[in-house]
Amino acid sequence: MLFSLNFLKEHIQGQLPGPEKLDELLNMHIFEVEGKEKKGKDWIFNIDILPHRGDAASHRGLARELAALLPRKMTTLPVKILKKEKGSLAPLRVKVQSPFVRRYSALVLEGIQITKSPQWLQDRLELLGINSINNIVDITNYIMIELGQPLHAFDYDTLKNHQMLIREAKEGESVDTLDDLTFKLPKGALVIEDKDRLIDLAGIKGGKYSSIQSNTKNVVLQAASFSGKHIYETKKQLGYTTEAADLYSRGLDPNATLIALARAVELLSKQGKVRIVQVVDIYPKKELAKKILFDPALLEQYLGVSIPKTIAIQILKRLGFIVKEKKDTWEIIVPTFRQDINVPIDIIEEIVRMYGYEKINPIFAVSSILPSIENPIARLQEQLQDTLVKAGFSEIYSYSFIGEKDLQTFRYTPKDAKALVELQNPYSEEYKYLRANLLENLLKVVEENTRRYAGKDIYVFELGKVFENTQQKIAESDLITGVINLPKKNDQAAFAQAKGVVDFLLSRLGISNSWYDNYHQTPLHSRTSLWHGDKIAEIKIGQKKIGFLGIVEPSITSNLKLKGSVAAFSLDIQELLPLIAKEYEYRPIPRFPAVLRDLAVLVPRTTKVIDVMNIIQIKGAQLIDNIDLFDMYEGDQIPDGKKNLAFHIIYQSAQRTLTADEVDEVQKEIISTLEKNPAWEVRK
Amino acid sequence: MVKSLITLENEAKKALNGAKNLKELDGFFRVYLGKKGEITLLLKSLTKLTAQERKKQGKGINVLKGKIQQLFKDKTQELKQEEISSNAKGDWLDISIPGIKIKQGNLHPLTQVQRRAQDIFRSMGFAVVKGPEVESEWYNFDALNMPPDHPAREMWDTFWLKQKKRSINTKENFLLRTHTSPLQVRYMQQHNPPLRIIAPGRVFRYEATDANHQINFYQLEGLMIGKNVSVANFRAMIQEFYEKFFSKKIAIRLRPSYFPFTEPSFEVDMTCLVCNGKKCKSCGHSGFMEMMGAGMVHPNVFRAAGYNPKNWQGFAFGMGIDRLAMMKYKVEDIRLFYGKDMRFLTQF
Repeated sequence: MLFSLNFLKEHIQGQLPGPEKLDELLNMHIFEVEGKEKKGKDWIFNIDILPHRGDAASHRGLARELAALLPRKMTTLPVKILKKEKGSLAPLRVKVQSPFVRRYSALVLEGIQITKSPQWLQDRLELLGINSINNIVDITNYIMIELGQPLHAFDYDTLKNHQMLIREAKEGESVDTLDDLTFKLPKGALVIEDKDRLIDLAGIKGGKYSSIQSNTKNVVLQAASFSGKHIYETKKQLGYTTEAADLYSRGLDPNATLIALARAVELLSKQGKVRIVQVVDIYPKKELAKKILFDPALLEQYLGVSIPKTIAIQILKRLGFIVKEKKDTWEIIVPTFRQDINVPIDIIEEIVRMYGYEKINPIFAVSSILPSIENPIARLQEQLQDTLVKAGFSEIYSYSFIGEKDLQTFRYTPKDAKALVELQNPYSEEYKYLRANLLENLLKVVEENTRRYAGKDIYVFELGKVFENTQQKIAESDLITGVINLPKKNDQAAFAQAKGVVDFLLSRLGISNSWYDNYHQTPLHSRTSLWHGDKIAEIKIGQKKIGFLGIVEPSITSNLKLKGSVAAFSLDIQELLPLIAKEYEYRPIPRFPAVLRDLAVLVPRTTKVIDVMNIIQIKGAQLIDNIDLFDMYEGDQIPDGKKNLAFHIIYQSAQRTLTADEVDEVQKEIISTLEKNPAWEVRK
Repeated sequence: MVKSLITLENEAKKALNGAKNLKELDGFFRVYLGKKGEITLLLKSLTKLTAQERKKQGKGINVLKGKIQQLFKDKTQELKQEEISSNAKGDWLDISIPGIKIKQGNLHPLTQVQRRAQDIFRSMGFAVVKGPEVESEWYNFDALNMPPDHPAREMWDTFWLKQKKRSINTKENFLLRTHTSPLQVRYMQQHNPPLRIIAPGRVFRYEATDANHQINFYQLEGLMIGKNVSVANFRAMIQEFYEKFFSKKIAIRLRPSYFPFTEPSFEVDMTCLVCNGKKCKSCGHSGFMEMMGAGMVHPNVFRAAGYNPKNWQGFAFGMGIDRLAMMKYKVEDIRLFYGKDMRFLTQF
């Protein structure tokens, strides 16, 4: 909100500090100054009035704060006494039919001439960013920025039957406002009706049919007080606001309406005689000053600093509070313009901000520190992140959203799309849904970097939350997902790398009973259309499914123009948490030497490596420490439809040194068992 | 005439010392230790002597042989190493060759900053708490002293979610949490005071994105509740945090502010890191940088969590992790953190 320094000065007696000092004082004790600028002989301050301070959102209101701080006395506000004169107009009949109208005050002014405003008024409005319209409208705006009370002027002669009914809108009604808009009204919005038309969107915007025109002769000048919460609700429902509506929403003092009208008449009188022919003031329940019982011991208890009683009381008095000292408590009367002060801690804030936060010295809490409790999920997340970083992955933070275009890129079926959580008010088409997996955004990262890192492997991962609609609710899961992009097409190799990473991850968590199962329908937090149907495995620990591992569906990689092979894995962290070992135990280093033998088998292309390895393992029993597939080859010099598997077999005993004969014997047995399968041939 | 053993030894030592290379050493071997070498022949000549004489002279010759053999071995080793070194001379490598890049992974800068912050708070006794990103309207607003008609809700531009099927017994609306503050109430509902927690996590705001704003970003909520936890305690704790985090002496200043869930509420400023408080362009010539909002927990928040506000008090704060990371790494655009460019991400 913009403030003129000269305008502020008119309300405070004596000299004010310079703009720099003022800036600092405002910041440290009152409100944040967002900027200031010298304009001619004046300074314009842009001040962020806090949202609960309806009383300070005007020049006089802010001056009151400054006067309390400096301290200075306020000047007396020149006003005209509201004295009714005899007129010729039929009396205006005003009826209020809603409890949200706290007070309705208005004047009927007869024989007004609509002209331009005097120059000083035009200049002041312009300085504060308000267009000058005519003498009447300008006065309503001026009073608003001076006193913070919204005024509205109606053309008396347009009010059919000279009547105004202030009531709540019924279902389906609409109103035309003076800025040529038509609002379909939410039920309950405050409106003013004359005989048969809605002529005002009360507290928000004046109506089209009752507005001041150049030929207006008689004016109804309104200073009403509406419930701030009610006006706030309506402006939110309409998605429309005005300065008046914002002011009302902050909460205004109903006792301020007549003063605002008296001030308006004072200013209008300077332009010529003003005839008040009627004073309307409907005030069903007078707003009384609140009383708060305050225990002054709370000050030190809350702030950790001892503020002398006399200073605290002085501060409150300067701010307009009345303080009566009782035995242990203070009885504090809150001025009605302070609608924001309700409970004792509000009083603490008033005192401390004026006293100065800088006078509170840091003191470390003396309460004993209990050792902080470890958060198991946070710890597991850190372990997973660290392990993937060790494995060469870069961590990505992507948006929690996906867009309409992504549904095509990633081949969503209508059923897939239905499970997506949609935003009511998306930021843009690009961020319309919540992400249901981390893979899609990671693939977009690969897409972005694929040219930059041409010919190089890309390893990326993300840890984060994903969302989907289930029968009952919106489900939220914690996932960790990694993507490997090898520049040369070799799905088997990419898969093996990804699998190696998953093995590493799980083994670092001390999990020994993980395995890879064929994919079964009923996916876990992952749309199956993302994966290559024949190149996907489920990651299991015991019988529990904890994630997926596989090759990304080729039509998707092709949509993204990714080169080579793209493998990915995804683990559900919540599922994983109960399965991880508490302790990681070391494996003793073998005391006896190992014996290495190689073995190459020619098998049909579709034979699973694990089938061959299982036979080797079973036959080798206790003597085999490890079987390592070091080469898998098909192509030149290998018969069509076959592939060559080459293994290092490491023989090792924990009890003794193995002899060559002993190992050869086992190896021979393995070979003869393998060759029982007529399609397999051990190469010698 | 047979030489005395001493003469032989001296001659052999001299010959050995004079050997300049392995070839000459070979010659030495032939002359003294080879099949027809002097020492060998001397030993052979013993066969002609009587057993008694043989024993008498043999011992001396064998001692000499052992000595010479050892010296020969040492010399051989010495000459071999000399030869390896001299062969390697003139064989060079280019020390200007670029180092081969290590293949390494990277933790995201926001992860690193979040961890550092967590570590500091843990050292001050704070426990880490996590919570949902999809939050109910009640936890995000109502429980924080913002009933539905509260104008202050406007301070948080909110993403609301469409709900497919609203279950019958709840009229709750769901949204993306606009701050980590719901964790205050969630945690207090489950735990008894006194307590110290931090809750880091992703939050969402419906606002135009620019170099300083994002539709999703990270916050770290803090909450400390006890019998006498005061604003002075907050000042001490938060100053300690920033000094540790930025590894330098800094000053904290509090300014009045407004949040519905704290009273008093304040903005927390910290000495400008660029000019150290001397006032510069970066801090708008104030010498301070705005860091976060904080305050003393409002009694209505305690009530929502089921605490008796008469018995407990404490502070809460919410700091932006992204802002900390931007300051720490001098990143000027928050969007880089959520961008896809690995040339940025792999620098950390």
